[in-house]
Amino acid sequence: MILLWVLLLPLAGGLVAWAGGKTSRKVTVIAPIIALALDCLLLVWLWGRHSGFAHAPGSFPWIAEFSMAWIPQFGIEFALAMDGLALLMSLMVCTVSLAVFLVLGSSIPKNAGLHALLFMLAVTSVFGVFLSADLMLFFIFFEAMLLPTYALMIGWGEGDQSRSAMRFFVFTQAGGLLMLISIIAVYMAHATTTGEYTFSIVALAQNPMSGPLSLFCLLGFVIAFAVKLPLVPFHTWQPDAYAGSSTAVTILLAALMTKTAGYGLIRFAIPLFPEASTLLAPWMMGIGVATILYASWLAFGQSDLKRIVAYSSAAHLGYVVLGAFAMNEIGHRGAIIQMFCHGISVTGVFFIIDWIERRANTRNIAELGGLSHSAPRMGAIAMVFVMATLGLPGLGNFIGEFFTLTGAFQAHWLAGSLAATGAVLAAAYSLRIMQQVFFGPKRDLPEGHEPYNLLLPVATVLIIILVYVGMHPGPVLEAANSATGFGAIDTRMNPTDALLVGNVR
Amino acid sequence: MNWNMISAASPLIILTLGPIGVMLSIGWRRRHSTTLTLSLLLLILAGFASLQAMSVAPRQLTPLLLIDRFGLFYLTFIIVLSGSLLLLGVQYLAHKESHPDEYYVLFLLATAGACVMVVSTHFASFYLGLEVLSISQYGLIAYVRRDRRGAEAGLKYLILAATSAAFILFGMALIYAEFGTMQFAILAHATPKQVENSVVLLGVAMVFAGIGFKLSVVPFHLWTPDVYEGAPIPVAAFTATVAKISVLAVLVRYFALEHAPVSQSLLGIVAISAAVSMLAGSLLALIQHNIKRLLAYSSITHIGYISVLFLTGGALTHGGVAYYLIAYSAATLAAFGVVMTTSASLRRPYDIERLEDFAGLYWRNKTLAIVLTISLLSLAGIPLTAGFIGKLYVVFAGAKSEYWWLLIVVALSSVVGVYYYLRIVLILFSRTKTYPPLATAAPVALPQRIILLTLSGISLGLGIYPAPLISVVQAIFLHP
Repeated sequence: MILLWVLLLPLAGGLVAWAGGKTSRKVTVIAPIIALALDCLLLVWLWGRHSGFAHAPGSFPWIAEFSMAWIPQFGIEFALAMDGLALLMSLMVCTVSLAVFLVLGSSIPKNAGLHALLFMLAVTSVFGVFLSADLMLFFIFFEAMLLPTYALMIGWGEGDQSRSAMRFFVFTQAGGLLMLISIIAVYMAHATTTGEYTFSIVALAQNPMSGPLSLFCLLGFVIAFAVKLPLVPFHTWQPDAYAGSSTAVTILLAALMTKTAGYGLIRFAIPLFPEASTLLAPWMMGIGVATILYASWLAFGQSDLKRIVAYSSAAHLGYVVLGAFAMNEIGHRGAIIQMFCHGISVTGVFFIIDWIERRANTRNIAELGGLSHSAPRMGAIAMVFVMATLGLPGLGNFIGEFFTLTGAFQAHWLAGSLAATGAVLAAAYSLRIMQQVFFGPKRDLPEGHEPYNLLLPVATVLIIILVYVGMHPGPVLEAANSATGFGAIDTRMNPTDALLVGNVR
Repeated sequence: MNWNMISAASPLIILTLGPIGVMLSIGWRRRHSTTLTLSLLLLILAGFASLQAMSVAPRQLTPLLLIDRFGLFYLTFIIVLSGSLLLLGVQYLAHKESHPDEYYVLFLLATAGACVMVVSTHFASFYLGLEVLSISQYGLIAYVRRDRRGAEAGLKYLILAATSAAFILFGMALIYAEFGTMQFAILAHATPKQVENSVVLLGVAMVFAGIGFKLSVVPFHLWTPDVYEGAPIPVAAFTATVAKISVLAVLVRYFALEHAPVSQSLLGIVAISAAVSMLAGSLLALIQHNIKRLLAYSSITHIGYISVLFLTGGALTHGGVAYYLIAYSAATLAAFGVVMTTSASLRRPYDIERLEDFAGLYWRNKTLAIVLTISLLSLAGIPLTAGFIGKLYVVFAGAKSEYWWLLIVVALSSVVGVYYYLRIVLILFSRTKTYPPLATAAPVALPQRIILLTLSGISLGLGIYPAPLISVVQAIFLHP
């Protein structure tokens, strides 16, 4: 029942904002904030109640469940379940969307009520993806987030967004349909072997598919996720979509929606097709490495701040794929922490970019410079987020990248070492941002707007989260650990790993 | 003939005597409102009659007709669709013709023909129903005499439908020559050797070619866009829904027979024509600027999807076709309904049908824009609409019969579909400086508004909570 609340609270907040937004502007900000804050509290309470995440090996370590019949004729249940991984991701989503409403909520130029409703619909679907314990329900949530996002991109974007929004929609829809076919193939295969028609992932993962068909099914999943992350040949929709959307929508795309794909890989794709995943793992690691290097390279060549971050974001999610397909426990943990921290840090980065744009009326780094002179505190905050992006030890992203790379080295030394060079490229493009925008001689910039009132405190909280995860990753690791208790991956740790994990705990 | 039999046959009796009554009433008093009321009452009566006939079903009436729950389900469905179409098109017709009374006679006759088809178990009754339907459609399509495109469309349909009828007749003759019977049920017990006989195969192929014309399966689809464009909009909607549903219901009967002589080669042909229909329909829809032609190509695509459902047979075919048809009809009817209400309310000599005419509709008439959006999303098969559950059935059927390549084609064509349906949605919500003709759109009258909103409600409701309807269609399969 708690999970239903977790899922429906944001939706309720959005509906109230929409209904009340016609008469009062304040409701459109306050209602979502209250709903999301309550949701955060619920999640924290859940975490506190279930410290330890102990579970029997090979089972799903659910800490809360909810299910009711939905389409019993097809074996589709409205089944929600939460383990440490889902909890981490939900908490990240909640924090990020709360931050979005706190900072940007009052600055929506038009139709703020509808904006809040659509945003919350998308957030609800993202929650739905994390909480679904039924493959078809997962698919429906995975697809349901598209339409509100599409509307947000078009209605509140910069200029004519219809082309890039359409590209986003068609790309993701194409991936989604391939995944639908895979899902149904899994369902049919399960029914022929066990005689039970069900989409429940517990049942499906206990009886994983094998044979050549499973490889094609895995490919269906992987392509859908590769489009959404995005991975390298499927990334072309991303920079335009990020650059043309409003900051709130860019954060929705970059921080929240990409995580549904990474989550899908770890929760669904690999456990459902252990054999095929092992077969495909080297290729996927290669694609992950290619994404890291190529996207970092592209990020270095951009001059629009949002495009730089779009490519850097793709590079960081390359690590998630790398970790997930390293097929060992340490890589999985790295991928999960990477997702969590990337969500938080990229949100901060986009807040900073939004501030720069309001301050200087441009996002082009060639026209910017010396902002630290007039705004030293913003410069300091930007510095922390940029350092998080390049993976400075002490911040959460470092833990994610470090574990991922450790996992990758174990799988194959070449993948690990190539991916490690990505960190150098990350340093290059990140420091370029700082140098060009904040340091250097002071430039005459047109008089822009003041920063939002809540930007500084919210950014500080985000930084505290990153520092906490970076300095004391134990609890997060433990939560991430509970996600990887089944099937495909090698849960035996070699002694150095055990030592490593033990130490950071 | 006892009381139960009359009770079972009552919907058909009402629908055949009805048009004669309406014709007499027109002779006595020629007024649009009277004719409309009478026709609607007849349809309502027929609807109730078919609901009460459920209690006496199944009942074989002569070797020609079988009144079972399967047939009655489709009968009720057709009657409801026809009734909604009559009501939706009132203003449009009044605007097009000063005395559109005979339209109603033809419309009721066409409905009667469609209803005969869905309860037929014999080639003779099937053919009779088909011809009653087609011949009424010729008149309906060319009904607006001032409209040249209507005349062209009517003639085109006349020639092609007559040709297809000839094909069906000849095919039936060949099958009869081999088996000596025209009853579906006896055909079902044919041995494989009889079925693979070349005469029979030729006959089956010819019957299917004729049916393909009716369903506008590629390569028999060429008439579809022209007829949809030229016909009065309610008639186009009738052709897109009722005319196709009746033929599909017969096909379901045939494919669901226990030992239906469905050879593998026949299934292969169904699969190929499904794939070609999906691809051709969706690719050609991409380049349309006229919403009627676009809906025509979209209907071709959807027939392709429905064909996939025929590959498995059994419960999936039964339930899937019924569910898909309800989802498709609700969405198609709503889309055509929006086009006809805007055309009627603007009172232009031409129909409002170019896509750019709908630019910014949302900012002029929110109801119509939202209704059209929901129906387009349902046609695109976006989750949480009825169209998605229909697509789910299609993928189930394809996966169960292991036609993986066909499912890839389904996915491709759906992606293209998403593009061209969303393009319209985008146009509806666009903010242009000059709102083209729709600037003066009058509000929609209450009955039409209720029907349109109900159709949208069906499109959404069946997507969000499909379980009850799935139970109904399954029950009909299990206890026909």
